[in-house]
Amino acid sequence: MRSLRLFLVENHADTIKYMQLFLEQLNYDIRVAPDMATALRDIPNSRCDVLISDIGLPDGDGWQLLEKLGSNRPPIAIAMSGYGTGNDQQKSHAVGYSHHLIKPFTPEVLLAILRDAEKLRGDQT
Amino acid sequence: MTTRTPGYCDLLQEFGFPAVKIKTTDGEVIEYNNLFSRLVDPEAVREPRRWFTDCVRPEIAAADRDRWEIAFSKRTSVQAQVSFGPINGQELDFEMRCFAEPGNGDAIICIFIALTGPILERLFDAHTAKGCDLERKRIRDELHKGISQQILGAAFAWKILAHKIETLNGSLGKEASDLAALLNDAVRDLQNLMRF
Repeated sequence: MRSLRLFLVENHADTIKYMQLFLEQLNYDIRVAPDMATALRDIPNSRCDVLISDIGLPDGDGWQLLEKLGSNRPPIAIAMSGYGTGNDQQKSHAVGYSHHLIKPFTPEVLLAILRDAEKLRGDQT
Repeated sequence: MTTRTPGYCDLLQEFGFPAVKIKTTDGEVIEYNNLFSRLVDPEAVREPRRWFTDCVRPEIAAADRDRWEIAFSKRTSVQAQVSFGPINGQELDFEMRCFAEPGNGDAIICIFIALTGPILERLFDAHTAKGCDLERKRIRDELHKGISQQILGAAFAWKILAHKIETLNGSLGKEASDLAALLNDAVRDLQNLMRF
């Protein structure tokens, strides 16, 4: 079975670099974008299984990104944000994110979600 | 209603005094800043800012409570009521009463001193509260946009390094995993801190 394809949208240089390296080390196929415009351009052709997106982006936010993707949105979407108020979490779930991770989070938290996603994909195929 | 005296009223508002209106029991409405202006001869003060800072503020701070309490003991009909409008979006309305004997030359000074303390106190509280809010917001933003991002990057970076260390030298695996646990604890502590 092929590994999960991930698409990471994050504008913090160190975070994007180390998350990408970490996930590649675990054999995930990962693509990245530093802003919403790049993500909107690249996601439709990426055939990714999971979108992991920061909520605060330089040219918009993660909520707008998912809405603008429309039918091109990946089956699973995970939001990341430094702000974790009830409203933020509700908004993430309302637009279609299955998880809202509050920064900082441990790598294990993300891995657990990705393993569930793999399992879910395995059950569907 | 007395007219507003330009110059001192502007100066006082620059120092943070709002345009406070005082209503006396005989129906006269005067502006507090105008009341203040009555106490000084504008011609005598060449540098109003320095005069206010050097002379008036210490005078207010050292106001002799007994002095105006004695004056108020003779109270008859002058009653001042003060109400503030909102300052910095914060509602500061309150009523305060003080009394002085009409016709007494010191009455206006007594009212001025009696009113100034609480007004300064209220203004100070308002500015302090606003300052605390701004500081809280600044720290929260720093936590969210700065430290939380850095520690998130560090947590992932360390996981990569820990994996490499373990591969190269298995005996260092425990130290690597202890450090990863320490970093995870820091992440959780920061998460708890950011809830406030």
